[in-house]
Amino acid sequence: MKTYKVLPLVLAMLFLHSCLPSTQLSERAIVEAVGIDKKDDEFSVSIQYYNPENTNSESSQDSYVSHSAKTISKAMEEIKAKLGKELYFAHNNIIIIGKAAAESDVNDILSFFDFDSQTKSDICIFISEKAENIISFQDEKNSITPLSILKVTENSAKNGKGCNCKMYSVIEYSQSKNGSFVLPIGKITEEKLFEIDGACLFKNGALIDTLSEEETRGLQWYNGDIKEYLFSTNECDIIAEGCETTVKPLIFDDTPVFKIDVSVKLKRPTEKLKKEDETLIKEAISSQITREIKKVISVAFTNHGCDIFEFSKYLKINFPDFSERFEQWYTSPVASFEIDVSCFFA
Amino acid sequence: MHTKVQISWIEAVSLLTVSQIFSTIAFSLESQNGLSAVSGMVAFVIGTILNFIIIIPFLILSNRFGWKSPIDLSFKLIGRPFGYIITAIIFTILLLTASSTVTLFEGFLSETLFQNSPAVIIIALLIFASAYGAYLGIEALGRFANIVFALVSISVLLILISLLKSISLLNFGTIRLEDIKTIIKTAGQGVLSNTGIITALILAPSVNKKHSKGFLFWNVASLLIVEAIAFSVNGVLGDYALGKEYPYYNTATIAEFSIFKRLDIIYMCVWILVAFIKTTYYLLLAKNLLDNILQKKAKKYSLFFCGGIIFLLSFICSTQPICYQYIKVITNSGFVLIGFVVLLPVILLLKGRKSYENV
Repeated sequence: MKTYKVLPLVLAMLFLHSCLPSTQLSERAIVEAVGIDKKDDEFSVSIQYYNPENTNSESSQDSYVSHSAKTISKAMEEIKAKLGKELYFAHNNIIIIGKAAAESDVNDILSFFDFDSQTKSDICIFISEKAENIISFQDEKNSITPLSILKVTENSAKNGKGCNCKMYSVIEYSQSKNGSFVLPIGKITEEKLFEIDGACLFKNGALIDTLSEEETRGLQWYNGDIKEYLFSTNECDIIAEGCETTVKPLIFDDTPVFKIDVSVKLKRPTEKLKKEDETLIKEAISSQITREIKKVISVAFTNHGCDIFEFSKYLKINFPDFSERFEQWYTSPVASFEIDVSCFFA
Repeated sequence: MHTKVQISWIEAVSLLTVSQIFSTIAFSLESQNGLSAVSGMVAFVIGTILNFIIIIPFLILSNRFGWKSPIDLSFKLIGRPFGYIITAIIFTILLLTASSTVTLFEGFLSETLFQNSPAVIIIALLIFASAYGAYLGIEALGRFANIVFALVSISVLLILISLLKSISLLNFGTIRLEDIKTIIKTAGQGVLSNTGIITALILAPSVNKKHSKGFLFWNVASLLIVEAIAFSVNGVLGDYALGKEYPYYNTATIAEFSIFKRLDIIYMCVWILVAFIKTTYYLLLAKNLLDNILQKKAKKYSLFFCGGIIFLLSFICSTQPICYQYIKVITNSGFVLIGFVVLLPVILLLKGRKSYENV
């Protein structure tokens, strides 16, 4: 076969590309944040999107639009029609769910975004009293952008103010037999700043309770997710630089016992501490962490039967027989916990 | 198959490995028959060991007759009609596997990159590119496979490293004694659906030396890459991956490395190349098989003929998913694989005792 014989092949490859559908940048609304509220059995979808045509120097180039409909996809269609642009979710940073929507069922909302091929699996989700208030927030002094909200939410999981907010992780928990998960609560303060304040507890897709800041921090200590937290003691301020948690389940008389060991790395303060002060500080920090973990276990697990601590997984791995016999043990949870917190200065 | 053109064993390893790992594009925990992640990973290891076992008859055959394709030996030792039948069966399997590859790839691209795009364009583009690749021959393809193999290894490693901090060991579960049967069954299913081993036997005469070493390296390299992918997917996504059609793609979207916020683009680029290599490789082997039995004048149309069939089958499969399922049943059943890789070499060995001098 001579080279000229493959020329039609090469030309076809070159020109066939133009047959693939394409959308110009000017025809796209690049979504940066989505808010979902529920009112009178209707979903109200608010979208913040990048608008290069918004050249007003005083405001950002983000625009906001909202629409209500029976379903989220219908509302999205209406927004598309309103804007005359294709909604592009690949750069979406956050999904905010209003409390009313969260109280009915978030599984439908999660499914909508999960099945959307443009949305990243690790998109950040949080709960707010009214999602639209955050999406539409405009202030001349403080600029609250979707990126800054994302940063605050991610940082809050590291300092114990909030918790994990990644969509794939939330869906994994929600699809488990227990169907329990947590999502952080976000709000705009009186000083017009965005902050995360505690978490919401979900069971079978519906919001059932809220966790205080202390309880949320307890959960983060348990998860070993705290990377920086400031302890104020009588002697001085101490920063926890990280923690590691190991959980070891045991069974005594058909009752699970979970040994939770938390190891906290503390940053050595600049001023020299006496040996006895060091011991006192460590004891104070240990007892605070133990108290916080106990509190969150009591609220979430004992009171509501929400296994957000993956106790079932630990049992399934270590005691598969027990796990099979008592498949639904978390519905009326009988378990005891031994929490041991050890602190050390780096 | 009489081939004057020869490739090195490293190129053969790259070609076979890249072709084999294409199926991980739709790596699914569901194919692990409900096993825990760690049991599924053990099944991959057992599958590799089974690969070494089923190749033994061919190794003995090659020890006696040199590295010849079982198809060529069938023609010589058993007779032309039998040779034609074997050629027809293998030719069909190669075309079916190439079609399922194109269909899977088209589905993946329409789902992730080019939404609502006409399937016919994506299929045509891939087959045109593959036809050109096949026209350039096995040497060019082997050299290109080396580059793609390196890119695949780097990208899998990069995604794995960037995800290490997100991996939860709880997602892996444990190996239970009662799961051993299922583990072996899963491993067996993996081996039977691996048409790569059929192509390895056809490719053997084109490899200049170190065939056994090549076979070992191919299996080890494929195992390592598949295990790295399974480790990333299971460790990060856990049960979330169960509901996903392309879990490794989802894993890649989560991965971040330094200033690069989305590593899925690397995944996308690399897997496009992997799909190209696999389609081209199967198309080329099918064309070569056809050339062996065609008259000299008809040979110049063999590439168009093979490409045309793959195009038609892929188009039908992408519009009628049930056809794709039928093709998967045929290619994954393992009848052809066992017949060609195990039984045929045994028959040839028995037959070869009498007519050894004639070969």
